[in-house]
Amino acid sequence: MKSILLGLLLVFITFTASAQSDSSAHASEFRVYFGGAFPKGDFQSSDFEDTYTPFAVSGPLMQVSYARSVGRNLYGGATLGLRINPMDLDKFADDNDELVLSKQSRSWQSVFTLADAAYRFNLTDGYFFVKGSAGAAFNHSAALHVETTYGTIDQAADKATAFAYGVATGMFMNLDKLELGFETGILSTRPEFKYTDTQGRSTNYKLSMTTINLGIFGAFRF
Amino acid sequence: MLLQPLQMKTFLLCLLAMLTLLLSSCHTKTDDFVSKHCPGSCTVIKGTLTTDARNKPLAGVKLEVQWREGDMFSSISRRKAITTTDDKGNFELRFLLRDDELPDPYSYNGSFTVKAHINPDDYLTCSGGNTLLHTYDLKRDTTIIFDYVLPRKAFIEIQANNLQARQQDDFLQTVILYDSPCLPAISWFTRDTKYTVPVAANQPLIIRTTKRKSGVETITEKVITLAPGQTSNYQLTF
Repeated sequence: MKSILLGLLLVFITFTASAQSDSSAHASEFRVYFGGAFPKGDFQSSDFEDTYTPFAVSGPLMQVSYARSVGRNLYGGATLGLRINPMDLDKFADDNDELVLSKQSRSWQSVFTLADAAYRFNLTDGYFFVKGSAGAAFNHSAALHVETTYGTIDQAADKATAFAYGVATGMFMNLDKLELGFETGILSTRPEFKYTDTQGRSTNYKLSMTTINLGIFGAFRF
Repeated sequence: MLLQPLQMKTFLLCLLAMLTLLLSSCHTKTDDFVSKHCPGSCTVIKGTLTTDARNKPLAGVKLEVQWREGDMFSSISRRKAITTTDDKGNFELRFLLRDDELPDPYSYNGSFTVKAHINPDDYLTCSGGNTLLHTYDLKRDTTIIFDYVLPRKAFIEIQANNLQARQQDDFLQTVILYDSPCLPAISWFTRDTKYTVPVAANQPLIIRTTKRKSGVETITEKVITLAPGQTSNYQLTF
């Protein structure tokens, strides 16, 4: 239900942004972004006291965006993104740990659907921009499987949807209908996951999944 | 080339600083996540944490098990398990012992402590700090029931008068009795005539004084109850 509501919210915001522009002179663009997402705060924690220690490390962030001019230097649009942050299993158990026979994990994953608003400042051969985003993130917690001499530690992945937001800034240069640039910013969401311990007891916990992102993008204007 | 006194002093200071750095770097602290997620053959310490003469559960107190081996120059310290007491004060610490942590009759293999994340200024423990349990002998596949009363702290300021009248065979001792595995006792052998003793609040305290004067032994008792943080004065005369 939460996913549906957040999804609908995104669609409405996008339609609203599109409807505000009726001038054919206003440009639209598709943008493809690729970069790194570096966990911050609780997300990168390796704290023993956490209910479920995330051990998240840097991973890729991919985004596809659509933006359309809705006013002078003001753009509205939407972004679909995928962020993958692996677990640092060496912090869970050292490679030389005498108890561990094998260890593997599945990464933390978030799919973002965001409505964007950006303001562009003219430069000589391009633009500097600031962007704010809000929407939903569909998250998967990391899964863990560690074989030890005394049994198996198994943590299954859980799914949770939550509100997400981001702020970013960057620069790009115009190459006729193409744009090339870089962008840096943060993306954050705070889903509630269920953690089940080795005794089968379940606990819910909220995790702030915040990353600082840095990447490059290419865009096609039409 | 001989060193001048000032150079010698600087050299010795540098040497001391280097030695301190060298020795302090031999203390290793690790977190044992495999133990925390104990997959089998677990050692379990469970029970209830209460205060106010076991009448009130202590909820939301973080407890952790730590194993430590070493001395002041080098040590290994491992956090083995962590949990938080529930609304009724119940807790369960489940962890996996490594081979080097098992008791060895032929060598000193370190010890385990259960520590509470409390402010030692507010609560009374036997250690005076936040250690609730200290043990050398834990085994795998074992469950230990550990109900612990963690009283809130109050104080009694005890003043002993006329101590100068003591003769060689005379004796004076004050013991404060309450529900605790360790009780404060003062034997008035020293020149000090006043002590401030931390005691348990919100429960009856029996202040028992044993006096032997000129071969005659007498015991006096007084029962008081103190509020948390309260300091009460008590005077006795030899």
